[in-house]
Amino acid sequence: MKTSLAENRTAMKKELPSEDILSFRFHTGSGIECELFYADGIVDKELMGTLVINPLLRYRGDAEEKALFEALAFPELKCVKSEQEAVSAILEGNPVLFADGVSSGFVLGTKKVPQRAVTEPQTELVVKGPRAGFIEELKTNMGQVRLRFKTPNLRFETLQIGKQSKTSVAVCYLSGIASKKVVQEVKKRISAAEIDAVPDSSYVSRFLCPGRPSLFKQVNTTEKPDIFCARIAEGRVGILVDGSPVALTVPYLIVEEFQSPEDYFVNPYRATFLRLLRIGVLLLAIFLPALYVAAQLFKMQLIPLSLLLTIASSIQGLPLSPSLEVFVTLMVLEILNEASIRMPKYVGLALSVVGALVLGETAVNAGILSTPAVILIAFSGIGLYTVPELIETTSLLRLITLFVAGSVGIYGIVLFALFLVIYLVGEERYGSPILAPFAPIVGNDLKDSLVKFSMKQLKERPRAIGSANRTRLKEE
Amino acid sequence: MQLNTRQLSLIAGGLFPLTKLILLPSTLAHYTGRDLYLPALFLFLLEGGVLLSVLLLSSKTDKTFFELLSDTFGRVTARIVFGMFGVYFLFSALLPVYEQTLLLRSAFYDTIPSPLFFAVFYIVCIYFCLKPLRTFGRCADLLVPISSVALLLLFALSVSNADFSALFPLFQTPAKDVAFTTLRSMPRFLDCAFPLFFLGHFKYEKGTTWKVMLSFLVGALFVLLFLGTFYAVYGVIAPGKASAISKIGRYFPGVDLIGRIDLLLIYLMSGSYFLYLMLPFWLSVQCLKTCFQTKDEYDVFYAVGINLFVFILYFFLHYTIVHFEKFVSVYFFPVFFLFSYLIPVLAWTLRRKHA
Repeated sequence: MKTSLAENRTAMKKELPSEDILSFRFHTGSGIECELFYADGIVDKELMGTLVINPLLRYRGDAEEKALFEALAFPELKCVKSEQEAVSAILEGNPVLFADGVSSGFVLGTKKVPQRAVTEPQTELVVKGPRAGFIEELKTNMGQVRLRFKTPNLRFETLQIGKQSKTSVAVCYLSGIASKKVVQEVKKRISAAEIDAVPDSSYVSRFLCPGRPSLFKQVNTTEKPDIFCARIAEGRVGILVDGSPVALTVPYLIVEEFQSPEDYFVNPYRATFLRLLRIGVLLLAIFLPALYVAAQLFKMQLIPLSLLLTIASSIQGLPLSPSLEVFVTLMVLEILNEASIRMPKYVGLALSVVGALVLGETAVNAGILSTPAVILIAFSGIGLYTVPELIETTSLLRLITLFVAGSVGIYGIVLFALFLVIYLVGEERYGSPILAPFAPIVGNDLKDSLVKFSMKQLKERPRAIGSANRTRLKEE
Repeated sequence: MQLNTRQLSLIAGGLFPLTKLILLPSTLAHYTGRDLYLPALFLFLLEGGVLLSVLLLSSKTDKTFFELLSDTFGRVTARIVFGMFGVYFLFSALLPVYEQTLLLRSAFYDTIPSPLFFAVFYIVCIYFCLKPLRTFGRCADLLVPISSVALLLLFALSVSNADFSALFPLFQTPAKDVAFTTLRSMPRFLDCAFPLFFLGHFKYEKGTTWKVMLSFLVGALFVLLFLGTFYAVYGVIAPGKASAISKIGRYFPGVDLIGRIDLLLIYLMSGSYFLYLMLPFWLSVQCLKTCFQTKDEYDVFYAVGINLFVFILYFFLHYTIVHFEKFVSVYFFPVFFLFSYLIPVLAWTLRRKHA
């Protein structure tokens, strides 16, 4: 950094030629020439005027770094000595003040990003429990976590990734509770990421679990600070990404998908029932269409006689084979699902009418599809959403199982399920087997798995995560 | 360590019995009638003795079986023995694997399925063969509780139709027939050799022996009860019911209303059953790999080769499985006895202490 303002100005203009980088030139009360460089649109100009420009207009001292620093009396103020630091600060939204005769720049923390209010995320609605959600602004999200952990043990370590985007990524954990090994590994993997831009946290998740892509989730996500904090408290490591309302947590265990935040607000019996319901319905939703096809094609005895007669009468004269019929119905459901997410809301009602009446009832009346197949697929479609976070995986599994059932029958379904088990038991995320606490069985962790014990009995943190401090609840 | 005491117990108590519930009950009923449990009892005692011997050996050494052999006889001999075991496991896998056909025909299909359908089993088996032993232990953790519940429910369904008076009077079969049937049924009781190859891969803890043995005892008792119930349900026509497990619950009174719920239970159980059928293939791959001292990346060749061989052989044998079973049982029991019973016990004579 030069002492001459003119030279610093030239350097900044050269480094930041973009039109949205503005500068404001003024003189202090003692006549020192100053210039503020800032990125338009992400700076709080009012704050800049009140806390930076006004005090300097009244400043009567000399052009000295220390005196100017004291005159500014701004809470988030720091000096930078290199051009590169000044450029980075401006691009992050913090204006940099240069004064003629001073060989450093003053970084002013008046960043103001346009942000939406903290609202309930649409993907994680709850009947009981906190409604706040993360937003796109990293600082606000960090603040929401800090509000829930008023302890010095809560650590945020901010890294930057993205050669062009320079996105801030905060690694968040509870010191003394999270495994040091996992924290180190997360930081190492994020730092090693070489990517141009990071528009969303999903980009970061790819780097958190390198290696072969998996059909199953590698990293867990949440948009709710209460869930995020609960996972951090269990000993996991969280990752917040600037510009994304979706926070990441590692290590990921499949059992997390069956745990809803509400389970902790209702009584344990109800919670256990709901968890069993979720896993039961999910398995049915994946395997029922396949079993229906396999039973029709290979083992009719599976279906009770009276039901078999009903099915026989409804499939009579159908032009499609059972597997093709179910496949077509399933594809119609997938298409409706995909379209309903993307189409404007005002045509949503029309879609419901077309989907339910035209494609459903009319197809049955026309003799293209049978009523049992439509009922079955409707149930399966709804059933998968009992565990919505797994929908990407489960809908694909349902299709594969259907294909196997149509080709090899129930034998194929069982072997495919066995293949999945063999695959999943070998999968580990940061040293934690994703099927824990079921495979391997971790006795302590079973208390908060399919069966939900009362809070008083959950004395230890999940062992499968490898927390540094196992005790969650001290004996009374 | 790749296995723990719990997983060993689940394997001994939950997986060992599974291959004994298909063709064995009808074979035993054919030769020994209502005393069908006697040969099974003798073989369980024999198997239990060998298992106990291996478990006690594991308490005295942390070496693998290969290390025990090579420290005593040298690496070359150890490699030869492992090569022989590699072939033996492959051979011992044939009968149970082909036996699954009977279960499939009875419980999974209305008509006789194409032999090509069985390719799926070998594909999954190849994948399994490339996984470490830890995978098998964890699969047991997940699947054995499910299959145990399914088997217990299946057993409960069948008890209502059982006439246990059919089992009396006891001990009517001549000792000669019981002895013959015991020898003949040996190919279904070869599980006791498997733990020998788990040596050095599990940490022996205080209580491992009695926990695993207790679990084995529970499994054995279940099989004996199953045999008794099977005969109590079918009586003199039991020898004609080749796939016992898929037949035992079919007369449950609620079948007309709710369908063949017993089949659903069999499907739940069959995950463990198929997994267990894959274990000899896995052991065969490991033994051959040790024999030829090849790196892990070549495991795929062993796995594909072994599975392809068994699958091709199946094409020639799938119509003659019952004859094949007779042939193997009658002429090869000395081989089974040597590898599955004698060698595991003789392992005690190997040098257990580190040099």
